Amino acid sequence: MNNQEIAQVRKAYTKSFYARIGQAKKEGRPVAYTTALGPTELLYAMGVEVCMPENYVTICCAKQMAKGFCEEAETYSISPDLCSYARCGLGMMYSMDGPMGALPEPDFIVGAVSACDPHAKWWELEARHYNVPLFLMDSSYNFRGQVKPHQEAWMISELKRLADFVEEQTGNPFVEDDFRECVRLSGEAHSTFAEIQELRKHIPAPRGIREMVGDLFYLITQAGRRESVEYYRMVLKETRERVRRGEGVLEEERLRLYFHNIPLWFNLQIFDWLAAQGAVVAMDFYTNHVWHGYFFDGGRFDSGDPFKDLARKWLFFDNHVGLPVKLARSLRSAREWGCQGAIFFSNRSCKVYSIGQMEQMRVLKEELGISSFTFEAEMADPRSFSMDRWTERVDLFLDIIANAER
Amino acid sequence: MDFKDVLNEKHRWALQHKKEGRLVMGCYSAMLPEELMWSCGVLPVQFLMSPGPYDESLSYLPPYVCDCSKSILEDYMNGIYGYLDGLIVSHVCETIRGLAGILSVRWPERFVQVFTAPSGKDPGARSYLKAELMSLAERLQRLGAVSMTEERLEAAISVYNENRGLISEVYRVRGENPGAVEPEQVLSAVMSAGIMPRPQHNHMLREFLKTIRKDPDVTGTRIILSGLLFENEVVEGSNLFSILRENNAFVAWDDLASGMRYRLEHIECFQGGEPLDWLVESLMGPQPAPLRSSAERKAGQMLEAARTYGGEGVIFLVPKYCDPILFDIPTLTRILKENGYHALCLEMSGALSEGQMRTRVEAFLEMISGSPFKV
Repeated sequence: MNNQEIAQVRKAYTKSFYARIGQAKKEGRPVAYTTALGPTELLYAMGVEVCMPENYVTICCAKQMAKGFCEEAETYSISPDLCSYARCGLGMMYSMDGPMGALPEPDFIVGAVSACDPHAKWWELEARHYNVPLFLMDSSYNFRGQVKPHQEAWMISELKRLADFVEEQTGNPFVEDDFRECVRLSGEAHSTFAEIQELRKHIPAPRGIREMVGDLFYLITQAGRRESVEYYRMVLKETRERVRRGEGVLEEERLRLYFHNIPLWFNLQIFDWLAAQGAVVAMDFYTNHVWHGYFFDGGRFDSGDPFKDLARKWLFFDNHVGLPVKLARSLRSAREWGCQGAIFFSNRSCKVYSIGQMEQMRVLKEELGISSFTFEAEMADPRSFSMDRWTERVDLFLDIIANAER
Repeated sequence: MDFKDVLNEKHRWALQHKKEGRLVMGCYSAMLPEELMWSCGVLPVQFLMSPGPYDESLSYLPPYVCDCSKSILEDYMNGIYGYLDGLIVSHVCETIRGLAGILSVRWPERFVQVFTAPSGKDPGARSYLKAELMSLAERLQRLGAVSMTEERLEAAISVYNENRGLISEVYRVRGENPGAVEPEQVLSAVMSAGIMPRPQHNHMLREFLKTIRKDPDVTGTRIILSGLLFENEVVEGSNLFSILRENNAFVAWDDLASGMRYRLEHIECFQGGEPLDWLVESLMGPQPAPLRSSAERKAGQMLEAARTYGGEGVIFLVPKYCDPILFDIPTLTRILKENGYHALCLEMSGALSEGQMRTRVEAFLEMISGSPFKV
């Protein structure tokens, strides 16, 4: 099975996932909107169907529908300076539409005040619109990557508080064995995903960022489900085969790059353009540091307590760690995956990932001699980006690092 | 010396405290355990905002962040806050957390803490917060602060509670008679609280209250302000205030981050608890910062103030790129409108410029004062 065939499997599953949410609604089973941080493991364990408007926005972008929805939200006084995920998501909500039709209405919403400003306030607007209860997860900030016992205990308490809330909303009891199994499956999915990421160290890289951001769908929306483990096992097997055969995503790998921030969902062709120049994104921030940060830092679900495991995963999301951790992660990614240059997407829609990028560019230069290129846009609003201007500037950057390599 | 003088010499108190061999901690937001710091002999100093341009900060921050963060970094870069022993910021937005990260990397020798005051009031949050406060006290002690004792903390809470009571009294008196005191005076008084020792500030507030006329003797349009106003706008006299005065409009109440949004509820000294428990309770739950409070709650506070003090309309001063405020604006304006109050949103980047603002504020005042449906 090649990368294109794997993509077809994923696309078919994505469609069935959204159909499953619609079916749940029809059958009267509970549907929750959540941020892309979840925690899906707990919700799936309690029989809740998870719906992530953020994920739906990325599909909207791929189908080139995001601009209209952003504009729709702006007519409701949502500022164009706010996160384009939120604007597009709210636009879909107000217009009762979306790339595969309007999302089913939620029975309740789980947001995260700790993650970023939109992850608290966007969901407040959605909860008000649908007139449904809102649960906001809170947690401490893992500034230096050293979680103290009382910080971990609070996170565990938040997860237990969520379980109580879900019981109250759905009438479904919390069953520890079900939860334990969902967390085990999530841990296995993450560990397998970590092995796939390791294989990207090979030259030529067997999987690039386009493939990996697609793979991430399972880690975000399906963590805690058997389907995610099965998918990653399949990808791992195929990727090992590719490595054995010496097959890369590029026929001739001229340059290896590190990419920082969320991809431009409406224009993933930028990675195709880079590939056409012989440049592969060998490692990236988005698939490795955000949801997968705990595992990237060497953590595993092995405490014996599913609440503790999940709490640790939560506290190591990139949204919850301080700049000292972010610096160490970017350095490690660029160094261990053999990157010769870095592209930092300064994302007007995501301050939490973009503030501190200049420090990361500085340390990459000072400690690894790696030069960086930066550009400004928004991940879900195509009005923010010009492909022509971008290629003109990146072309020059690639020449500079290629010449430096010689 | 009046409060404007305090703001004009904003580093004087901190430098004096430092000269006496005690610690000074830079703070951002009122959702911080200032009482605990004070009980350890540490002076908490709230960052006040300098006018731009913020050229130096642009080397470290993207352009699409608020002027507050740019101003703090600019002043750090220029050595203005060289006297600080560290900083503690409250998680009231993602930008301030990111800024704390940059400062910790640029100045690794200095103490930096991102403090989270939980939005919920549950046992898990309570235990966390108590442990976090004890840990903070220990860290401060390692930096050279005196140890926190129950007696010292109780005394600090008492001083800060008195301060809250006096500021609330200023707002009450001004609300009942908005013409008796200029808005700049009130805001100067509140802002000064963040940069000087509270015992002295309490003394100044008591004197200030004696100077405010209590008898109502003016009529005009009563306005509520919300959002954020920089210190230089207050000290140097914002164009906004002149426009209001020229149009016979008064500020009856405010919900400014630099004003009434200061944590004004008394810390309740309940039976059966220790002073640390009292502080924990006061720092938990919905907060004045929009990130950690619903728009409905904020709208409710504005409506209550409008009804109590006869407010007729709300002017929002919205800092550009302040996401928590921007997310709340559509809901706030809708709720106000549903209750018969008009609102005007002025987006701010740097100082408030006069031209367009004059046209918009005058039109707004004309609209609310001339409405036959006025509540």
